[in-house]
Formats: sequence, structure tokens, C-alpha cells
Amino acid sequence: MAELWAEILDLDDIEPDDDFIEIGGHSLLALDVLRAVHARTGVAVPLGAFFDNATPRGLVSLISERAGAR
Amino acid sequence: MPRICLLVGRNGSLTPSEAVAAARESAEPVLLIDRVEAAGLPGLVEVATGLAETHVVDTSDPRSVSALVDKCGAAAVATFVDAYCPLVDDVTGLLFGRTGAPNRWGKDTQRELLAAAGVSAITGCVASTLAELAAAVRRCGFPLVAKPVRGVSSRDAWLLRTPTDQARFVAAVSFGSAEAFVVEPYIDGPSDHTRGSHRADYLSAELFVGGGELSGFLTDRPPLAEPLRETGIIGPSTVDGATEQAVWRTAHAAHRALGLGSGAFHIEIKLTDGDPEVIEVNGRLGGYVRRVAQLGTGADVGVAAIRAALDRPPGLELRWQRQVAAMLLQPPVGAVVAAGVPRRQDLRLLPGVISVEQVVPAGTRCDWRAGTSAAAATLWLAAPNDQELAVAMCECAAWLVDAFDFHDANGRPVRDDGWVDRLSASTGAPSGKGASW
Repeated sequence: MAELWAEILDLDDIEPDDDFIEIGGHSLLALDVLRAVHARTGVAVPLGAFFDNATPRGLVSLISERAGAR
Repeated sequence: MPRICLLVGRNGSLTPSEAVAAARESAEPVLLIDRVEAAGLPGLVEVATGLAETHVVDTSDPRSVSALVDKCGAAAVATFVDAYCPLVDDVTGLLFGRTGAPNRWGKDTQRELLAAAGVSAITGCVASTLAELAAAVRRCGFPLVAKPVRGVSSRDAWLLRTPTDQARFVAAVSFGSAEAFVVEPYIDGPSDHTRGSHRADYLSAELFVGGGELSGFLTDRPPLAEPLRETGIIGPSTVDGATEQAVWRTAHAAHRALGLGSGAFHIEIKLTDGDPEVIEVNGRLGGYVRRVAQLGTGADVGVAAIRAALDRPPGLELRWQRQVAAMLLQPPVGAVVAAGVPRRQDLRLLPGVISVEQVVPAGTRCDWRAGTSAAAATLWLAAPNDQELAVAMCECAAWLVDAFDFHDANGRPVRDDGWVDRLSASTGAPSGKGASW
């Protein structure tokens, strides 16, 4: 997940608890992240849910929850 | 839970996601996006739709917007985007019968209303012809400020100190062929810069009005980059108690003079040797304010803004845990390109820096006339107190000026060491020049 964020945000290093907005992300890039997540995992994460805990760790947790719920 | 329609767009003091998050505590948000902006940025509609019920509207047609807001059953309409403040007034008037002074968000009308109410000693005028400009110069004298009547974020805001500046301005904006400009005297700061232990060039008052309550907080603004571009925000303000009271008297008086009702308002105020003077009043929360408050107190003042828009008590309670600042690096006036920029990870290592919001890629074109929003970098800093923050800000400023390589139209390097000096003089901290780490 950190590598995905680094690729989309064009950053060299991402920590598990880095806040998406605080490291330069914004809503449109968030869509790019969620599209990439969907493409790789088949899990759709709502934008609003993403922003409730917009960290790599938080997003992984969301994906796990939703994948487990299917 | 009531519904609130929020006019959102690309350039707001809250992003659509922040606005929705702030609204959820008090209301069900419905997002409205201008059709032209939607066409130019399809991702915006996708973002908004992913957050809340969304409608694309024609913001040039207040009646159609009012009809939609009515159909949505909204209890209020609000915005965090400057350009939509007049529309909020129109819709609020059409639907809820609440009206204030017409055209109060136009810089010319606003200045007239403030002057008529005795809130402002500044009198300006609108100039759209060379003759009107010449008359304005004779009336106001130098130095004076010329800015577009409908301008935002210091776009094409000029500081004219001499007839040569005036001639340069006329040529550059093709004066008389396009938009009209408001021309008014430049407001001088106090002759004693340390008055009230104040570290800033001017202040901003965020005023929240709702449910019969007025509340708010002040932030300081560091010295501008030439000619009139913002370079940051500092919270909380360090102004002393007596000065703070004077500032709030002015802010409240401005609120009354413009016939403003409930809502959140951003009022820029300059301290002078006399009473505080209003620079400008905006019908929305100030830029960067939400994040300053969040980083410094943990509170989301967007929630208070939404409550105020619903005419409910804002419930603003801020307990500052640290001093916070956003720093904007503005390209020097002569720069046309950011030829070389530092790495983001190096910016994160600067003293006091807790976040790098943005840094432009190398090769980005620069134009000071684009205003505040064309900053080359935006950093967030924090410190336990204002003295330490001031030191960090000065060190960062000096480093940024050294690290960024701006070029002029002839390919020659240009830099603005004057900004570093003004920041040091304003804050009382060492300039940071020559420091290395």
C-alpha cells in the first residue's frame, strides 16, 4: 500500500501512518488511489470511508473489512 | 437532521471532503457544483458524488439554484468558495427572505459600506479608464493598491508606489480594455512594529455568527511577498488583550455595516497607529484556517462554520496546544520559471516542519500576477510557543530562498531576500541566513 501511495503521490517514502492530506494528497488523487486499489484487489472503498482514516494502514484495514464481508 | 446545500469547487477554504465531514455533525450535506467547473474538472463531480448527494448547477442563474435548493428541502445554503458568496446571498434572499447590503462582496461596494458606517477610514474608487485611474491617484496618493473588483487570492493585485509603477501597471493589465480595478490607499502598519507584542504584518478574524451568538478567533499573517501576496498564517494570534478587543470591535462593526447575518466570515484587519483598519471581509472561512486550528487545537472549525450557516450557536471552543503556521513560498516578482526545486523529503527535515503540503515540480512556470495561489511550496510548521515558531519560520524562509532556483525571462536567477528580512523584522527572530543543517 505504501508503494502504491508513493507511486501516485510521487514520493520516495511513505510510512504506514502517514496522513494522505498531510503528505500532499487531495480528493482527486484519492480517487486514483481507490481506483488502483479496486483494480488490484477487486474491493471498492468509498471515498468518504477512506477520508475517515486516510493512512496506508487505515486503507489496508478498510480493504480487509470489506473483503471479509463479501 | 436538516439538510444544507454546500456550493463546492476546486478553490475553497474547505475541500468538498472537509465540508462534508464538517457538515455531518449538524446536517445532511447536499453538494452543488457549477456546471462549467464540472465540465473542466470531471473528477470533481466524481469526488463529490462519492461523498454526498450531488447536483450540477448553473451558478450564473440564482433562480434555478434557489429552485434546486428548495426542492432539496435544505434549511440553509453555504459555501467555502469566494466566488459563490454572492450566489449564497441571492439564494438566501430568494428562499429565506434574508437579505443584506446588495453587492457587498464587491470590493468597491464593500469599501463604500464600511466607510459610510464609520468602520473604515479608507476610501477608494473604481477605475476602468485612464482618466479615472489618474483621478484615483490624485485622490489617494501613493502608495496605493489596485486590485480587480472581483479578484480573489491577490490575483493581479498591484502596489503602486510611484508614477513609474502606475505606468507599468497600465501597460501590463491593458488598462481600460478588460476588468475594472478598485484603487485605494495602501494601509500602513503601526509605526511601532512591536506594538502589542504583535509579530505579524496583519491579522485575520474568523467570525462565527449563529443562534444569537458571536464567537471567533484571530490568526496572525506574516509579511506579504511583493507586491501583495500572502506568505502564510500563524495560529493562535500573539496580539495582546487590549489590541485583540479593538480588533474584535472592528470586526463586529464590519459585520453590522455589511448587513451580514449568520454564517462564518473571514475579516482581514491591519493594525495602525489609530483604530484597526479593515482590509477586506469575505463571506466564508479563511484559507488554511481550518487546518491551522486543527493542528493547533484538534478541533474542526468547519463544524462551527456549518452550525453558524444553519443559524445555530457555533459552539466554538478552541484550546491551543501549540503554535502552528503555514508558510507559502511565493516566487519572486521577476520569476517566470522554477528552474530548480528541492526534494520534498528535504523540506520535511527543515526546523519545525510537520508537513509538506505541496511543492511545485521543477520547470513550473511562475507569474506573480496569478496571486497567492501560485505559491511554489506550502509547508506546515509547529512549535511549543511563538518564539520558537518564529525562529523556525525564519530559518525555513532563508533555506527556501537558497534552495529554490527561480529564473527570470532572460534565464537569470532571481531571489527575494527581502522577504526573509521582512519576516525576521516582523517576528523579531534572527533571519536564519547562513544557517546550515
